[in-house]
Amino acid sequence: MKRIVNIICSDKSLYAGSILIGIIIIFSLTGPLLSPYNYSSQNLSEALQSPSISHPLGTDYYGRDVLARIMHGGQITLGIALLATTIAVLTGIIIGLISAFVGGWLDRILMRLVDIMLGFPKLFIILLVIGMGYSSIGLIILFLAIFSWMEIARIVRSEVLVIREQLYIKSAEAIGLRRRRIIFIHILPNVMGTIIVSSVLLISTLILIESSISFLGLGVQPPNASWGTILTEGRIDPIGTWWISVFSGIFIIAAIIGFNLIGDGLRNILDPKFTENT
Amino acid sequence: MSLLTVENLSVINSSSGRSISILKNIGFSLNSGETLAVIGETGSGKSMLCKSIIGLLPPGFLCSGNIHYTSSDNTKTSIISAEKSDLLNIRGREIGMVFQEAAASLNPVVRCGNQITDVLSVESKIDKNKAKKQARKLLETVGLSEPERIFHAYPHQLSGGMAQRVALALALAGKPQLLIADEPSSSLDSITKKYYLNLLNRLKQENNLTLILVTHDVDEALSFADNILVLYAGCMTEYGRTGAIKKAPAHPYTKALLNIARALKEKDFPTPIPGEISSLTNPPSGCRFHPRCPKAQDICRLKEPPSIDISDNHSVRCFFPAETI
Repeated sequence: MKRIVNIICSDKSLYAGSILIGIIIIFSLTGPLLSPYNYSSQNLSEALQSPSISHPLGTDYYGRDVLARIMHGGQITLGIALLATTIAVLTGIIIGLISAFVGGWLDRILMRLVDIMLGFPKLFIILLVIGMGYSSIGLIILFLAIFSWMEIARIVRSEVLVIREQLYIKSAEAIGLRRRRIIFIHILPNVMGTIIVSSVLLISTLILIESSISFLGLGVQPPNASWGTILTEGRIDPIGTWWISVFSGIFIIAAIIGFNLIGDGLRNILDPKFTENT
Repeated sequence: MSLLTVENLSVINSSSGRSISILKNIGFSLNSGETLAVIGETGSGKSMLCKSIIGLLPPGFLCSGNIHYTSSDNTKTSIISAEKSDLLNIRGREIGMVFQEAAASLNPVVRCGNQITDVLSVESKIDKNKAKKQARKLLETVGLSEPERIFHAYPHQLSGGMAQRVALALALAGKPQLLIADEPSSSLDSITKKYYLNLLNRLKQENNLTLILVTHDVDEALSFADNILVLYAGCMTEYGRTGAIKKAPAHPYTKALLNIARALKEKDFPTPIPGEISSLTNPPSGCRFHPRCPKAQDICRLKEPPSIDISDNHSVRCFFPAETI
């Protein structure tokens, strides 16, 4: 634990990003427990109040507390992004490894598949499918994952191809280690740095995509809330009900900046080229 | 008892479209407990010989001939035609190898102690704590004064000599009978080098190891090995007991090498061998050494010299071997 704190403190952007994301996560997780309001309970007599002491971030058209909704939306938005990233990264690692180790025609097929998948306009396809009426959080996660494993797969494949020619892999072979052991103990740890950096950056991309879908009304459906859903509720009168969109928008921006800062910081730490002192 | 027998070993690299002969007709046998020194210039195929013995030639390299290894339970294995799973059992457990650049042969992101522990727990199927204890002991046996610090260090935190010894510990973790050390001392300074060679010698006696030592340093080979194999451009020029070769080198190339070593020892200016080592992609006809040989005749350009047995265990490939005294 102390080592992790030391690592975080060693880089300014990692430090700033971790604090920002830490605050957002704690806020989203503990907030709903402390708030007197439920994210979905309507109170029409209190509709469209501007920020006040009883409703710090105001209320929306149905009298729901915006703060409570943003806190709940944080869980949904971050949850979707994190889950989709995990699935995408695992898929990417597996496909990258297969591609690098099996090689030959399978490698060629998988890499062309990556090219094809990268060529798809992913937002458009997600909108098309979800717009046909099949919207659910599970489906959103699945689609986000399907359209974002490719870069990880490419990175893993190319790094593995480089690393397995290194002398320490030859030496591990000379010691008589089995191939599976060499992959998991000697090769994967060397790729991990790059994977971690690109997964963190992927999280922020996915937050943005999920928010865009929800903003267009096709993602997370009311009364459930994600930050994008809340953002779109203030769209009808952006000036008169500014608090609905502004605050949810601030959270989206903060989360993306936070994850990008963490990604930058991790890259500085993990890439020996950037390391000045260890 | 002969532990390793190499017969007629030839290695051809055909990966670039045409076949290049890397090694040609190598043959020797190594008894258990003995040391063989392989000497020769850079590019003479020394490392390739080591890699073919352990069965780790890169793809595109074809081996012919025979390499017989007799393992500790007296089963004979032909390395060239062995199944992959048999090779996995021989590597590490029977034949260990230390690579030329020790620092690069350690995984940069895994702590040294963990690398050794991992090998120990796989090879001898013991639990982690026991393996950790053994790894610490192993670091001590290779002469590291602070085993505890090295155990937790990453390879980049070690000096060249330390890394070399950690790599040695790693190679010894599987308790091999035969240890191949591919130029273990080339990256060390002269004091560390001496120390390292003494260490090798001590470990060899303690564990009854058989050693193949690849080296540039003729003096090192003479003082250290029981047998010497001289390679030139992939051809075996001379092979024999160290004493015999030291006393009466039969091949002009061996003679030249010994003269240089002697001159260096006496702080004299050595007479270099004229020319440079012949390229493997376009080898000279006949004897590959003839362009640089002071004794070369017409026949040397036309025909490959046969292997001549001068005495027991002393053979040379030359049409005009020096007279033995």
